[in-house]
Amino acid sequence: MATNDDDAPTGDFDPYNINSTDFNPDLYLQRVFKEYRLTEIMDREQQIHREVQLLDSEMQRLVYDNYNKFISATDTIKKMKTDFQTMEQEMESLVENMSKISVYSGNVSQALHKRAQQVANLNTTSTLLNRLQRVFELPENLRKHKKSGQFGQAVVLFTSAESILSQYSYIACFKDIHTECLQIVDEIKAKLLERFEDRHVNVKDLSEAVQLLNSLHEPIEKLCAQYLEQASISLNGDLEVLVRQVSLAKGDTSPAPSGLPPELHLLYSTPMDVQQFVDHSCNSFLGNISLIIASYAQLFVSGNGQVDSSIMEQQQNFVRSLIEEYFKLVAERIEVENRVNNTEICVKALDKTFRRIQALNNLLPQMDLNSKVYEIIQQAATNKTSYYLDEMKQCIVNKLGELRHELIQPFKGSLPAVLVNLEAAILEKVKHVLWEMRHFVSPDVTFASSRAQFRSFTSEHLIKKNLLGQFINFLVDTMRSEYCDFGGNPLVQLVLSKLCLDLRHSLIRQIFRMCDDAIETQTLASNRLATDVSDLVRKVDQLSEDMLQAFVVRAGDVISNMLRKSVDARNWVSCAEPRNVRAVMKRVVEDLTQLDMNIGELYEEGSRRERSSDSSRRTYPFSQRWGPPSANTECSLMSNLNFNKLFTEKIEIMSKVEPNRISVMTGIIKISLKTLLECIRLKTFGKFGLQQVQVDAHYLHLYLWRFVQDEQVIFALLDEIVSSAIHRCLDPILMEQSVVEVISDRG
Amino acid sequence: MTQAALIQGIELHARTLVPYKNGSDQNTFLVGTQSLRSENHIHRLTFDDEISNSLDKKSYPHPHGEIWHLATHPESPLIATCFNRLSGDGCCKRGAIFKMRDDALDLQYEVSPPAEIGTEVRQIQFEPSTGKSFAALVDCQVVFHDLDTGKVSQSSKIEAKNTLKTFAFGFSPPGDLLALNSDSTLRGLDTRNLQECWCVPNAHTNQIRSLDFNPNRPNVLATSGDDCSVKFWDLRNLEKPVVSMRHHSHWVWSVRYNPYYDQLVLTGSSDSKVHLLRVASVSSDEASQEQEDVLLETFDDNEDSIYCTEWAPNDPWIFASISYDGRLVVNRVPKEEKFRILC
Repeated sequence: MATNDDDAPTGDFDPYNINSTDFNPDLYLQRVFKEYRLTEIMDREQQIHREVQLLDSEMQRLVYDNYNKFISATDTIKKMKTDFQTMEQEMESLVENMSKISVYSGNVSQALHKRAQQVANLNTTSTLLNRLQRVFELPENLRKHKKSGQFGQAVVLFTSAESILSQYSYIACFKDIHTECLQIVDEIKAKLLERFEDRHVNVKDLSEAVQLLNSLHEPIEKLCAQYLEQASISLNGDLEVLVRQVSLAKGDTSPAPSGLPPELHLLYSTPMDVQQFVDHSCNSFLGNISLIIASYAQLFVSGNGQVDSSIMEQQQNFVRSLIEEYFKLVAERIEVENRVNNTEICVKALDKTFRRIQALNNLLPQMDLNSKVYEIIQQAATNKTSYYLDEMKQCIVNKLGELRHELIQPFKGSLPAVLVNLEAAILEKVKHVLWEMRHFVSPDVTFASSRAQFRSFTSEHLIKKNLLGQFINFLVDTMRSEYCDFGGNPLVQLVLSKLCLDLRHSLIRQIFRMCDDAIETQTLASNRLATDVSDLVRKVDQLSEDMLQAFVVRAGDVISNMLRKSVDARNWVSCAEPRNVRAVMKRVVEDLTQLDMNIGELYEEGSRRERSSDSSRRTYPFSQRWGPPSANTECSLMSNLNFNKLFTEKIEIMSKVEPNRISVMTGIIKISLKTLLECIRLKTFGKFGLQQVQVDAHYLHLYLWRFVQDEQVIFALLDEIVSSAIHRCLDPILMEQSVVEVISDRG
Repeated sequence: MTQAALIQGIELHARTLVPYKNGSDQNTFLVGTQSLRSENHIHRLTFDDEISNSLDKKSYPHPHGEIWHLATHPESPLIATCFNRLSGDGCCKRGAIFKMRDDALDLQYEVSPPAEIGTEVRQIQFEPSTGKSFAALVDCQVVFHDLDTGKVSQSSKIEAKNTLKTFAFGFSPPGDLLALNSDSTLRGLDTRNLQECWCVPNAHTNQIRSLDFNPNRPNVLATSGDDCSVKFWDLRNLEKPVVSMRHHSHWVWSVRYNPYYDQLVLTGSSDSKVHLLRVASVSSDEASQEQEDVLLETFDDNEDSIYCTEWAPNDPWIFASISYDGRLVVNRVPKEEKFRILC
């Protein structure tokens, strides 16, 4: 009961706790009276009263609730007392009955025991007889199965019976049966072995036979050997077709051997393209060999649990010899293909072979077939590269030949067009070849994408170095050896010098960029390549200079020869008074104008050293320097000449030229005028001869100054030409300058 | 280190220069002048190394005409000139044999071209081994004369297109072979019968100007020409030159072997430069054959075209060159090269 004093210590004697057993109402009351005030007491009293009432009603309810239960409990106890008495009686009778039953049952079982033993004996006899029955029927069944070709069942029957037969072979009739069975089994074995010899049996049948023979205790090595021998017969058949195909592809036209089965005849007589070849070989040879390898493993290796090394070795030798033969054939076939211009098909064929071999390699990982097939692919790529290199070389030789042919004098067409055509042809060829070679490194191709090493070898070493690098080298070498001499057609040299310049400035880079684009090797474009390219660029640069120099010398030579002939062929002592500029001078000016035009088509203008604004009309220095012609003595003339030279630079005749129009023209003109000078010094002149030279020199000056870098150079040379002629003149009387001008203008 | 060149001016133009031996050990050169209107001279210039590093000059008048070519007899004081004589309104080219005395030239006889062979005597060369005969180059043909009598003994019959294009003309040192060019073709003639024994068409890409046999290896021949190059030929295999060098920037008018050290070769060109080459690979000095063939030195003391260069007759380290403006320049082999050869 919860009260206000509920928190009083328990356990100790506490008479004031109303819930405690030690509660003493008197003491409690006394304390209440003592401690509480009246109102509190009143409240207390009421509270206690309420609690007492509550307890009362609760007690009443408990008693009422449990009343029925008490009643029924007492009833039950009463009833039980009566039931136990009857039960005791029944139990007793049960014991009695039970003992009776056990007595009877003992009797019955004793009676039945003998019978049961007899039945059991009969049973065993019956099963034994059954088995005997089967054994006796065994030969018959075996024969039946043999006849119907169900060798499998026959073998199962025989193996199940065999142990019995051998166990009871001391009994005569069993022995007979055994021998009869063995005979039949031998026949079956023979039949199965026949399959090995049958050429057209399929591999499935064969493996079944092997399985059966294996269970008939044939020695496994012998079976392996026989199996492989048989396999090799059919595989060799496949290979023979391939051999025949290779020789057909090589252009063998002999007829197919006679006596072939019709299904083979087509294979022997119709050449396949490389793709068909590879498809066929994959389906026939590689298909069969992988089937054989797989079933061999299944039959002889996995069945045994542990791997017999001799068996594995036997197989590996077998596969090695055949696959090597096969690789040889594929390599030969691909090599034939190298002469044909269809890399894509070739690469596809290689790729298919590669994938099949890879699958095969998974069956025989220890044989490392992959690296062999890589060798073939690499060889094929290398061969292709050299094929295309040859093709490009041939192409460029042809193009250069055409160029030479096209530029035969007199050439009236447009040089830039010729050059553009040539460059376009080169780029086109390079593009075509790259397009073909690209197949080898295409990401669609398994061998390229699976081996980064191969890809980089092909793109860097083969395509960039061996193909493009060699090609440009060849181009440069050919141009140098064939065209960069001092003979031949100068126009060809002019065009080629510009080609070299273009190569150096853009084409080489363009070609390698095309290469990167085609084979997608931006990531691989390493520094190493850059040095290769810059080597090439340097080489081309040197050639472009040499070629231009060769052109200048050669063109100068052509003009020189005209001048030389004109001077050599004439009698200068007794020639007539000049009325005209000599025709050869006009021709020289014409030719130089034509050359200037040609050069201008290809090269930029270049810069000119300006000396005076109206130089074309300037009067000649020598006419003033020497004053009235007849008054000269030779010595003063000489010193004059040397004195003059002190103030002019020495003129380098065949000096290096810059790749621009004016520099090139200056080079040519210098060479021509120097020739004229040297030729004049070898001749003797009369009065009119000298005057003719004077006229010619004036004419040349009128027309040539515009072509050159530095007019002074032409001045100096023409100056020396005339002064040399004066020196070589028997009667040095110069023509009046005004007359010279009139005649020159007329020309 | 190069010593300064010794320069001597001659008043007239000059194209020809020749070393003069005459049994002395002096280093004497002869220069022939070329003038149509003043009197021509043969200048005898003796280089005195020991005393004053100067040239002792003597001149002999040559009234026959301007001198185009000079040659000296290997042993005697005989010299040959080829000159251009003016006659009336024309001129003709003749040769002459002189004896050189201290004070004057004694004309022995004139050499005229046989009419059936040609019109111009362009060069004369003395036969080097015996000195008993000389060969005259008449147009493009060779005419052998007996030295004592001046009579023609035999002549060649070369088929050449342009008869005026022969410039290079010379005996091999044993005198058994004559080499000459016609335009760009190089020919060898057997001196016994003047039959052609070999021929190299297009030996140079253009006109050949000069040739010289290796004095110590008679099977090696140097040629130079208008293609600016100098080529060295082995007569045993003339398919292509053994060495080809191209350093000049104009026609090479003269190529000369050093008579003592045949790895040294001198060239003169109308680019007015003299080049000293070392051509060790075809030299007789086996020890030096390993060395590279190079241009050792360029001498640019001349201002005009150089038509003739010659080694001094008695000093292997001195050479002279004459340019058209009449400037004779005497130069020396650079010391380093000299010591390299002597060591």
